[in-house]
Amino acid sequence: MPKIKTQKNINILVIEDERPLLEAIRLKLEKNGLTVVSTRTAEGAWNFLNDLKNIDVIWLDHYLLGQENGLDLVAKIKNNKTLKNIPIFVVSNTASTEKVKTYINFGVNKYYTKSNYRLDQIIGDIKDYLDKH
Amino acid sequence: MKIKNKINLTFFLLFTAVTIFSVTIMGIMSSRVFKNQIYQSIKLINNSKANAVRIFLNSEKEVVGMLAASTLIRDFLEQEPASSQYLNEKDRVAQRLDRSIKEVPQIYELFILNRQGEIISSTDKTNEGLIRINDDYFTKAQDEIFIKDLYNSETTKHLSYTVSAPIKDSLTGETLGVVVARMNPDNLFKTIGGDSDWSSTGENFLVNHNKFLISPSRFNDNSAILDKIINTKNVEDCFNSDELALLKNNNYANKTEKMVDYTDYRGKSVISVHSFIPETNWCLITKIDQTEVLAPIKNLSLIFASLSALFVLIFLLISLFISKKIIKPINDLKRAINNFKGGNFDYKITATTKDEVGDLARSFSDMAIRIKKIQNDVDNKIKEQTIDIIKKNTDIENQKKALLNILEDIEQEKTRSDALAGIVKGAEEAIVGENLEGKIITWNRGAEKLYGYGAEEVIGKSIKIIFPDNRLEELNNIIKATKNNTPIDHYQTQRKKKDGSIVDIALSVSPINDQEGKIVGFSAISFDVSKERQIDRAKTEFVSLASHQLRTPLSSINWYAEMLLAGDAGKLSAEQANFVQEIYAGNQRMVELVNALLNVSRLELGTFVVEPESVNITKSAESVLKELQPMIKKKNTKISFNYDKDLPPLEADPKLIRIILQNLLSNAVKYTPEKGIVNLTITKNTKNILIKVSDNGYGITKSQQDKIFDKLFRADNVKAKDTEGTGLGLYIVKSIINQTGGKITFESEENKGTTFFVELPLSGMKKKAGNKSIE
Repeated sequence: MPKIKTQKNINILVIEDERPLLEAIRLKLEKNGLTVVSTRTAEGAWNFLNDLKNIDVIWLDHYLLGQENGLDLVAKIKNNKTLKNIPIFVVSNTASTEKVKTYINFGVNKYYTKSNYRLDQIIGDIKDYLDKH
Repeated sequence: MKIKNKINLTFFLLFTAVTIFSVTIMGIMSSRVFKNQIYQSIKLINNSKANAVRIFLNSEKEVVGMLAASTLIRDFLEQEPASSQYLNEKDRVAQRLDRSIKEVPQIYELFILNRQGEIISSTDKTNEGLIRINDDYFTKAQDEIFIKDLYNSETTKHLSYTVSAPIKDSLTGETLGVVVARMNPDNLFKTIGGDSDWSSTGENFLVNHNKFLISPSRFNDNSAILDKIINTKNVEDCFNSDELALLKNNNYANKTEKMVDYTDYRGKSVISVHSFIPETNWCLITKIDQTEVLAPIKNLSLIFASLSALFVLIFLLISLFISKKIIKPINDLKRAINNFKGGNFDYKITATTKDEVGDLARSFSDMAIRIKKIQNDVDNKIKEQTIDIIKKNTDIENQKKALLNILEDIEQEKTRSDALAGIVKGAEEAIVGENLEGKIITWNRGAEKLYGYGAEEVIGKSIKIIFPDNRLEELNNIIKATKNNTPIDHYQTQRKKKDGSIVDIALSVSPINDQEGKIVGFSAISFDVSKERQIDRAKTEFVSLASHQLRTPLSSINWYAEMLLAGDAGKLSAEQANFVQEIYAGNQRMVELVNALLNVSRLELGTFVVEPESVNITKSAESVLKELQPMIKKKNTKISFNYDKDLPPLEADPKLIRIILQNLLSNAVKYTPEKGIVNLTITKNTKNILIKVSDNGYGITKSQQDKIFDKLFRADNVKAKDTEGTGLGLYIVKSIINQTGGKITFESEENKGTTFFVELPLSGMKKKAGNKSIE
């Protein structure tokens, strides 16, 4: 049985197009006691955000299925009054400086190059952040 | 006449007049005083002399009177001549007479007359018996003593006078006879003489009733006595006053109340005093010449005259002095005015007196100053205007010249620019000339071809027409860079063709200067780099895609291995864990390789980005060391880090710095056995930051040292030690360092250790546009 933390529930929205990766992420997050909502598209993410209204943090890949990519989603989120303060952690394998800059300029909290980081590192940072805020 | 002379003349006349007046007055007054003094003196003399005469006459009267009273003589007169006594008596009388004549020497003759007027006794015997009954000395002496006036005696021919006294009978009072003494007038004369004692022109003389001179006189010979008649007024006045005198009870000395100017017998003016002598009806005149009286006055007058002349002279000098003093300022003023008239306004007026002249002078001075100022102002204005005119002329000349030059230049330029224009025109590259607002001035054939617009379509329009919407700000940046004289070189960007399609271009912009060096526009050369860009993009896309595609599975393996090892899928056996560990490790190597390959591709493509920031090298080094802690701990490596305290921050891309430090340090730790020593030293010299990484590890074989920076090269000695490495690290480091202006060298000895030396210029890294940064 996975350990469930008795603290308050953290809802994390994970947007990742690769299935195996998504599964790994989900597993690890749940192992760390977060409640995971996931989608493979930007539209799906947008719907979740607007419908669920209790997302605490976002895990976002850049390349997604569908028309829009992570950047488009971030733009929309940051322009939305209710959603713009949700912390966003971008985890992607592309690392063009331009993209990174753009994400940072939008106000995402951190950008990770996937292959360079362990899951527990990323999740540790997310938890640290949420503890502080 | 000049004022000076007027003043002088006035003063002179004034003083002279005053002097003459005073002198005259003084003369008159002093002469009056003198005359009066003299008059008083003369009066005294006259008085005393008159008294002396009368006393003298009285004494003579007495003498004769005493004789007349003699009894002897009386008795004789009563004797009859026939008597015997008579002769006796006569002798006695004669003796008596002789005796008297001896006693009184001035008596010439002394004789006695009887009642019949017969001389009965005389000292001059020849006269005895003469009858003189009619003579005054007999007739007038019957009752009183009678002095007969001076006369020249017939008998004796002497000047004489007589004093006769009656001989009276003592009982009857009858006149018995007369005794007559004929006197020598010398003693008489003596009483009034001594004229020269008291003056040089003064005299006393007597005149008788008939105005005959009867005494010696200074200015007359003695022959004039009883010969000359003195009929002058003073004599007249004397005899006229006798009635007055008699009326005044014998007040004989005539005192003239007022001094009267008389003229004497010589015709000269005299001061004269007269006294009447009633006994004899004589007048005694005492007189002195007025000239003598006034002589001192004359002298005084001379003195006064000289003094006054002197005074006049002095006054003249004073007046000269005063007039000069008065005139001087006026003359100064005159001189000044003349100067001013002549245009010399600098002349300084020296009249500084506090009077009206001084005021006038000062007013003139002020006026002169003002006039001078006005003159100066006018002069200056004229000068200014002249300068202006000259300047304007010069300007016009210069402008003419400039125009000529410009025309020449234009000619030259035209020739040159025609040539240039030809070149530009014919160039394949798009060359666009724009002004500082981005308005198209020139548009060559290359531009026409590239963008599809004909020159006539775009000239005068804004260059923005070829800017894609998302790149419109670029124009401002370009203009800004141009204004700052920053050239833009091979800037990768996109433009929009006439047909709306986007074309990739490499843009080079350089400013256009006018003749004075002012930036007036810019010229933009754009190369169609679509193909290159395509290729590049293809390459980059490929690399990008490759890296993405490669990394995705790698990430998958990484995370699942991680989870397995973490026990998220259940606890692993030792062997299982081991195997998974190997999988994980192998995967890590792959990840590293992929990362390195990506960097290499970027380095080779030149598409990597350099974004310099202010980097604290020491902090970067510390961070890298922290990151390497797991490896350092595992191998128990001793790290020593020394750095200069005053290292300046470096303008550099922090990622690149990180890569350099990371590679060198991880190599040092990796290629040193356990418990090894790694030293990191960061210092600086004048030009560079110096990074030294040294270890005491495996070192690099000499034979392979030249290959150490080659791509994918791994030295044999480390391969043998089963260390992991991509063989790309040093290549990447070297590339980065070279491309950012630094230098890397090393020293190594197999099994002793290696030291790498990196120099990074203090001037930092230049910003480099690219599209990907090295990771």
